[in-house]
Amino acid sequence: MNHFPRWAWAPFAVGIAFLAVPIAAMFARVPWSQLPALLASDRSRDALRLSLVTCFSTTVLVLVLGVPLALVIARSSLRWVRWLRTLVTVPMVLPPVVAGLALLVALGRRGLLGSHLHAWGIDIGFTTTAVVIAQTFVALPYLVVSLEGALRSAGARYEAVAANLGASPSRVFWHVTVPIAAPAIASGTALSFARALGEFGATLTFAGSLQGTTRTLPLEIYLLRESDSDLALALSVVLIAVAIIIVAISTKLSSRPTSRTPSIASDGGLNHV
Amino acid sequence: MSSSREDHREDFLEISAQVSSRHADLNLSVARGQVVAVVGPNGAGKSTLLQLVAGSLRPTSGRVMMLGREVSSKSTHVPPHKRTVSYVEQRALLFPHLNVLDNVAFGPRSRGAGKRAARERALAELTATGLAEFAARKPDQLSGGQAQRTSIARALAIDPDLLLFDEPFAALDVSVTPAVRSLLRGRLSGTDQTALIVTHELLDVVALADVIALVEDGRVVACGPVAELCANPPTRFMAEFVGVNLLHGVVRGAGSIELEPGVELHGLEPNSLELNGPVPDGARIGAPGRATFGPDAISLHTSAVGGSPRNHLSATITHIEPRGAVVSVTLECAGQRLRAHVTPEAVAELDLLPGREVIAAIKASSVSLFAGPHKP
Repeated sequence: MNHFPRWAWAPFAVGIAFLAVPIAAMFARVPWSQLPALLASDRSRDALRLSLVTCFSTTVLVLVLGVPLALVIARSSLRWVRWLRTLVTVPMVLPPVVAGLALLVALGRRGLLGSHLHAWGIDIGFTTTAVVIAQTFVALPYLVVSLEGALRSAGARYEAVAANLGASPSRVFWHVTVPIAAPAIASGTALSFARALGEFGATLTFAGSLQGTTRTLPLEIYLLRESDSDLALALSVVLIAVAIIIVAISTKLSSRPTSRTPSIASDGGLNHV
Repeated sequence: MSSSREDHREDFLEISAQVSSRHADLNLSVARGQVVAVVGPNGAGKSTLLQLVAGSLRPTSGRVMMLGREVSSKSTHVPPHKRTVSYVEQRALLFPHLNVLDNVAFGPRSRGAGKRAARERALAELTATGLAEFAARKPDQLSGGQAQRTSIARALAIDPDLLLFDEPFAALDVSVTPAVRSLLRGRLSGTDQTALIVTHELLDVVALADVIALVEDGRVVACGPVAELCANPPTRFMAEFVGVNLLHGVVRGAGSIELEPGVELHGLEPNSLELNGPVPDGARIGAPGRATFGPDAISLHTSAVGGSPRNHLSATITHIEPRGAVVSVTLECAGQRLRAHVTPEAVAELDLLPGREVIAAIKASSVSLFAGPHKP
């Protein structure tokens, strides 16, 4: 017995087609035979290498900052910390171009902090570092939000037990909190990595588009889309492949038993307004 | 010199602490090697007491002393991991990512033991608990009883100064509770291990504890040997906990208390249990007194009955509840509550219903009288 109205199959089919057709169209157009040669070209190797380097750097940064950040938000009883929970989600809903502009205003050469850094001889804007910063800015919330939720629903009972057994707060963190939250950390990290890999607007605005320095895969694909659409499609295939791998890993890691979502009763009736 | 030794013993754990957010003002002292059953109604402050000792809760005023050292007060607070206090809860809470052996080794390891020494200690503890064969299992491969036994082994593996149990058997299947209880009894009796056990089961108290601390309304209202408090329950909760009736009144003479003007209850005075010590008969008239008797000592009648050794009290039935082979009838008598166990046949024959007026006949030889404060 299916607990949904039969007409739901119609939007279901349209929705699946809507999502699948563009991907299928792309795969149909990809020049598969030239793929190795296309990916071996200078421009694509630069873009691939840069995306790989920046995304891994971003992932490390996201883990180092994000796990303790999520822990503090989940466990602290201070009221202002609870308000920060909302603040952390802002970069998730911010248009990426606006995020890039915000970073430019803060860290650019004439920015709030950037002008001081410039005085010390440090310029961040339009460097590979800027790419990592832009990616971290938009990707960090994905780890924090998913991990914070997992930590909060798990509660602090195991931590309390460990403390009573004599474990210092740091030992509790490394030997209890992190191992127990490992699936949530892993799936949150995968999400952040995927978000960093696809990052376009903030990177373009804050870091620009210099081949080999700041021009990551999405930027290169955008530039090539008209001049060399074969190469653009080849690079897109790489992005899609990575995305599929990440989604698979993330699903596998977060496939712990979760509470079933309650079925929504639908009477299909129309109310007079 | 014996008194200085006594002082030392009493110094083991001294709680004199207030927690304003929970309306708790708790005072308790525990001697080394004592096993204290903490009993009381839900929300009375039993868990608050345990949390103060464990260090997960800080008093708003007052202090907690352990082994002569101040561990909690307004100015100092020793965090839980720097106390040597184990806390076993209803649920075993074994670390899901560690196997049974490493769960038990976690405490010694956290306290500085090497990996190998910690595992040896853990294995010894598991062997003593009868769990050595499960050492390599993950917690989700254990039954509820095995998991709770593991958590007891884990608690003991740190050689705690003090063991805290918060309803350790409440979440267990009734069929495994006796085995876990007897394990705990084996690990506690004949040792110098000091423990506090919160429980709602009289059997736990009798099997495990030396002393009862009775907590009601955020206060330790009584603390004394198990036999004494069970035989002479100071409050209604305690009386119901041990399954006897408790009536308050004032002493009207030898073997008699007055429940309310004109209503007297006769009984025996077990002098050995006289808490307030011998008092000249005359001086006791008008002093507060208590009477206890079992629910089986009452018989119910709808018309006046004879027989001089009985007390005959007018009562109103407030509640009737079948309980196995007997029927538990709750009565209101002289403004106080009583419980009588009668047969189903008697209920049918006398047509007992809530609201009905009856005469409760109580054998004087089954009634024990005590001196003690009136507690409404």
